[in-house]
Amino acid sequence: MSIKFEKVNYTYDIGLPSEKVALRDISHIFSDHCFTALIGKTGSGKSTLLQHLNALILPTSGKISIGSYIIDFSLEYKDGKVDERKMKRKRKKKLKDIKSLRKKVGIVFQFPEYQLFEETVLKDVMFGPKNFGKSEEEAKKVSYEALKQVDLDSSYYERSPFELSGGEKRRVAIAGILALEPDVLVLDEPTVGLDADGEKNFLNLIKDIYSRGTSIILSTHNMDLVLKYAENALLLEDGKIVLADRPHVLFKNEELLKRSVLRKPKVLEFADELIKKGLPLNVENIFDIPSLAKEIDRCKR
Amino acid sequence: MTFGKYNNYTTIIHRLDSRIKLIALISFFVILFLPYGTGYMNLVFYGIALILLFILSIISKASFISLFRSLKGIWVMVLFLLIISLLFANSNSGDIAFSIYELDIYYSTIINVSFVLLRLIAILTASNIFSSTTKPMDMTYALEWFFYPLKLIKIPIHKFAMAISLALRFVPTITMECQRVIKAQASRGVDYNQGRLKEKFKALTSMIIPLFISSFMKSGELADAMEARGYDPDSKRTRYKVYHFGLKDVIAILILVIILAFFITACCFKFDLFSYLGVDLPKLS
Repeated sequence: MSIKFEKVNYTYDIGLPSEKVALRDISHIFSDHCFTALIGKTGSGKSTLLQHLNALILPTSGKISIGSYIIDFSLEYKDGKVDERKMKRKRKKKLKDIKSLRKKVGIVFQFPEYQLFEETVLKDVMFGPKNFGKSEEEAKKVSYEALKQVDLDSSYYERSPFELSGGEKRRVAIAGILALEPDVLVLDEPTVGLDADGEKNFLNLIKDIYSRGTSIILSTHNMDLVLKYAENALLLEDGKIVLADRPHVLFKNEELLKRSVLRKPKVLEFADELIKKGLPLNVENIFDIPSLAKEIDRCKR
Repeated sequence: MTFGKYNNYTTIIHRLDSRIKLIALISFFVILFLPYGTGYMNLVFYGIALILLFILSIISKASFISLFRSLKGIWVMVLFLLIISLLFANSNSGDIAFSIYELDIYYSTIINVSFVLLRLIAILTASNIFSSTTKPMDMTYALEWFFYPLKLIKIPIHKFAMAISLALRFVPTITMECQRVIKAQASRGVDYNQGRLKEKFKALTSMIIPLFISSFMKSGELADAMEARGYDPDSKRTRYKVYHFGLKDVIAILILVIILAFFITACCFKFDLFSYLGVDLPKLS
């Protein structure tokens, strides 16, 4: 399922002193089965963009097509000016069947505390599927499946989600979304607050989910993650997309990195040093430490 | 824009000392509960007060729309008041306005209901102006200042003031938190607007429990943070912002005194404008 943004704008608190433009003329296509990383400074509009993906936020203007679901707030013009009356009418219309959209696109928020509330882990994971009309039995089945995917065994099922550690809580929260079996999984800064081991497991999990055919769209400040896993990097700056390309293209653009206060991944920095020393490495082949080692090995031969 | 939320303009009313604004608010409440003689005169004076408040609203850029939106439910109130007034026979005297079948509706009932309504609208307008022009912190400062005498009888008002200011400080935070929880649950298919009552109730618990948990966590963390920075509830506190009375504050007090004097005089003399002008109005009692 592909997601298409056409000239999407979003402004917080329109008409108030605290008015803030968060997205400016965003046009982008998230292709079918993509792994896209959103990067950019805090306040560059990453979270706002993510929330547009399943209509938690509706654009101020612009058009978003999510599979066959279309949210059309594109500007109407009359005599060269924006036709405010028509826009108002458009905005008044209620979106139909928003649930079907939310089933296809699942968002995992940064803090799992925001969604856990049931007495037991299992019940909490079952909550989502049941909302989307699954029977108790079916919901249980998908929940077992989802909990297995996030590596929580049956000893967790009957525990209260509130007595778990931060990493475990997050896994329960993700299982809660996975149980919906979404086509697109959206994650808002998923690795914040996880320990090194937790982060590694978590990223492997996401890779796994991706390889099973689910699109992944995530926002992050972790450049190693972007280089290693993402197929596409989307760099946002002040609500605008400044670059949408493979991570390698981004990390070659020193000027852009500097402007967005991004740091190159450690492996690439290391590779740069090696290249300076005269080793003819091909940066394009480097994604993580094993691939760097392989590349060095190739050069030595 | 919600009713009574602080808006960040810099009008003259925003810049007034919060203590004056609090006194003004209380004065307007007093004005709105004074008797001015006959029911008609009550209507007239409440009307004047309401016009004054509307002018203040415009000056202070307080949002009218949110005010009127919050008045949407007022029709229920009108109906309720009418029924109550009809049930109590002693207010049913004087001339009859009209009758529905056997039921007589008196002018006095209509007048009573309408001035209660005027009063209600005026109170809401006044509170709206106060709360949309005064920062919560300034409000607590004003409260603390007025309760100062209680300190003499060893009531720890600064503790209360701290509690109030913290509570007010956390209203926007919790509102934001609430929106986040709603979004997180909406991604899991919760619909807070549709569904049967039982489903709605379930949806509500899915919002309230995470909200409670994060609030408890926040309050614990806040207490730790305050202690870590050496907060001692019993020691004397200084202020980051020191308030000074300026010329505009003095002028504001003068205007307030004039308004208050006008209404109190009117209340004392119970001057009946209509009989003086010879206007013939339906008898109320």
